[in-house]
Amino acid sequence: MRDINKIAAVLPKAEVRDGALVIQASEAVEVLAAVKALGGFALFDITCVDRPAGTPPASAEGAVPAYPACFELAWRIWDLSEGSKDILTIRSFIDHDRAEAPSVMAVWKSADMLEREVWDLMGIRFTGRPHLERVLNRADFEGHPLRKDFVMPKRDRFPPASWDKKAAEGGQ
Amino acid sequence: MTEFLTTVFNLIQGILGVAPTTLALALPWMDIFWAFVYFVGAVILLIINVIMLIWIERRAAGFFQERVGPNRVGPFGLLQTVNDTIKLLGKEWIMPASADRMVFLIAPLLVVTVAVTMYGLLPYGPGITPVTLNVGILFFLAVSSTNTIAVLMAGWGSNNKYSLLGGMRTVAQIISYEIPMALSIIGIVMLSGSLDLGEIARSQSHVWYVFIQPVAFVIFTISALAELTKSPFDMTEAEQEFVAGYHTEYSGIRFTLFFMGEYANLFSMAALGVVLFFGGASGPWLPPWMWFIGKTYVFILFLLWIRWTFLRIRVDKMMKFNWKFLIPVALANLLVTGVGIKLWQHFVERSI
Amino acid sequence: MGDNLDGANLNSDGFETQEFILNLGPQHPSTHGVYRARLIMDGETVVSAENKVGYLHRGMEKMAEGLTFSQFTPYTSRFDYCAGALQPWAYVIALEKLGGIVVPERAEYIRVITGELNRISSHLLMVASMVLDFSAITAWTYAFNAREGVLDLLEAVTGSRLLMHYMVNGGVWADLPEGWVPKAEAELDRIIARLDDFDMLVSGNEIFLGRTKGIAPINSEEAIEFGLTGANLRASGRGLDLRRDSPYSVYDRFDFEVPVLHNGDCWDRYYIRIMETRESIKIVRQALKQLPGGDWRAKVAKVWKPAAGEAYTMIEAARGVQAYHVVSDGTAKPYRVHMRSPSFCNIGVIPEKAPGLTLQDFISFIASLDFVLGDIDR
Repeated sequence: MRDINKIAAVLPKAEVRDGALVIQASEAVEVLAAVKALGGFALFDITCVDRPAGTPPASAEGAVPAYPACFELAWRIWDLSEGSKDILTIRSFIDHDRAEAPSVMAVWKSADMLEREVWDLMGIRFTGRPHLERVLNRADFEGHPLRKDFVMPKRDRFPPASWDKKAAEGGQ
Repeated sequence: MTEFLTTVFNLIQGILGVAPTTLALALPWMDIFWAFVYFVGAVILLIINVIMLIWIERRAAGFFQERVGPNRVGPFGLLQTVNDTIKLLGKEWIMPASADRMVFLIAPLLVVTVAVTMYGLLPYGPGITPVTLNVGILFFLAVSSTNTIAVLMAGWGSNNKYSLLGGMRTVAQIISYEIPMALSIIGIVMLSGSLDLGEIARSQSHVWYVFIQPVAFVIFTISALAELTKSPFDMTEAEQEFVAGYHTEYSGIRFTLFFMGEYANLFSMAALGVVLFFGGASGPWLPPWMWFIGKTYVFILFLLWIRWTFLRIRVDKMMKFNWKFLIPVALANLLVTGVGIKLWQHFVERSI
Repeated sequence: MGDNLDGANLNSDGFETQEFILNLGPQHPSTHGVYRARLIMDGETVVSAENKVGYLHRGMEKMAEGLTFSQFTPYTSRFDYCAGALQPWAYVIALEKLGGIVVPERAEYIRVITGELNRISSHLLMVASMVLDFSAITAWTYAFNAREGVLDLLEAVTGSRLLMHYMVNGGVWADLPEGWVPKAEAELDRIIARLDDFDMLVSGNEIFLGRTKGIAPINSEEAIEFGLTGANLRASGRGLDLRRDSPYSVYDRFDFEVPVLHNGDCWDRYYIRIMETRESIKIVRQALKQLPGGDWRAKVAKVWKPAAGEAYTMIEAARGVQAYHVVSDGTAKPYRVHMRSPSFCNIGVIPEKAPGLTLQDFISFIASLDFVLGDIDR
């Protein structure tokens, strides 16, 4: 693993906290592009955790200051340089009111599927990218199931009523 | 067995010979009656053949693939096909709502009609050739081409994209591969000096044409596989691409007809190969018709062996192979054959 | 053909053609599950492709929040159902990291043995189904014959053939049965003979080469850009293998190669699986030889509560690198379980590479990517 402090040094907008880089979500594109420019990195995963109560996300390694109520969005960057195959985590905290983050699809194309998944399950709207559609749930699904305030419907009617309407109109 | 068959034939002929006078039937009626007898015979032969062939194919495939194959219904699983046919007959007839009704319904019938017609042309042995035509081989090829139309009708009539693509591929494939096949046959026709299938078979009494025309035999075998749309040329019903190709939308008896047609064509194509290259019904000890059927089945097993070994070729490579390789080779073969015949006539036959 | 959209246009041969939409799947023989590709076709040529997945979405990540940590372990083998014994590995490593559990050495070895056997069966399934897409049914039976031997071995250990819930928090469910090790060694000889047969029948076949060589090549930059991992990445010339590069479990004790091929076309993606199968057999042989005695499961409390925290773990699964993000808030149930499934990321490359392929080549392309829908849809 390359030294995270050295990486943070070339990224003025990032601070190191809890073994990860913490950035403002709005600066994600800039930071990730800078990381990519370092060479030997690849976007591996995008994870998102809903923390409505601001639960402290103490890591296995050690406790950290409590976070406010937020979505904890993390870009997991794979360090492909020789001799290390570890993960560099770039975190940001997003308000519940404005669940939005810029898309990094222009930096790494693998972000396409991953961002769609986060949008579908967690409802983070990624801006500045084409067809941000649901990928796992059907297109007319309501809500984002992995949010903590998602209420599980008693019984999901399938096919949904909207399909009957479509069929009646003679659509596909 | 031969005596028995001859007796039966004589008996039928005797009855029919009396019939015109006693029943005061005019001559055209005789012809129609005979045509009917041949038709029934061809249909019975076709059904028995298909049942046997499907069983043989499944057992042979089992052998190639280190498994048993059907062995439960009847002795050695022989009745498995009967069982399957009854099951298929009991299935629902499904027709897509947007299908072209007439085209969709006629296509399977046409396939079987073509197959039955071809059965009527084959020389099963001396005295048991249902229809002797002096342009037999030409007629045979012409009729077998009609299959293309049936397949295209099925593909178009189903109004399904997979069916349509499968049907289109079939047209391209079958029409293209008819050319090398015809060219390989012309060499045989030149050697035997006849277009009559029986005459071609008889002219091989000294040596089979497979030894004189090995290149033509190879070309014929490849084109036959392509005509029959068997692997490695099974583009038309490539289930991994087109689900089931042109018969995706067919079910029940209509699907059965397609299936029967396929196997019936396998038999008639192999029989044509036997007539052209393996001396037809000739052979010692056994009665001729047994030789004919036996040789045909051996040839079919050979085709099945190829079928179960190879993968499906790419469409564009298949066309390239045909136009850039098979046809030039077939033409060269034709040239060599022609020159050879002339030289033979000039030097050998004259000296004799 | 109700939905022909674009107007007629002239192609390079001067024919008037019209594009149409072909929904390849979700029920289609060669999409290997309920995958759907929405293709815009010009005749038999793909103009553009779009992934449509989610038909098998079971909401597993949501389910995990309602179950305890160990109750969720069996579910993890339902993701990639073609490698059910290998699947829970990343998850149990995450739990062990959260709870600070030390796994007995014997358990680690048994995990390696079952995991590698499962990788063999998964790779054999991939090559078999790929040649089946070229209608080589005979070759398919050869590979399945070999796979059958692996599955019998795994069944003797885990008790099931498909959804092998075997790795658990702190070790494995049960010890190896008596007399299993010599049986496994004998079976491996047979498997390698069957694999050789298959290799000889298919790999050099002219038709097979014609259908796979040079089809949909992905170079190493593109592969990394699109997040390809596992065998697909190694076929593109980038020899990354977590088993060697950042060894988890006891992988640092085995001597094995990481095969790399450089063209990144369908043939490379096919053949790398055959090469990896041989390497996996090597690993299993070594592990069987080194197998130590002792416990096969650490003591873990029935109601198990790890400390609050999170763990992000990766393993080299059969279809690529698989990662689990497990977040605990100190209760008996996980706060959040996220899974990075390799198939889900691998199919991201399809829309990029599909245009220009014929339908036949598209089939070989998606077959060579080796995705499993349970892994994509979760």
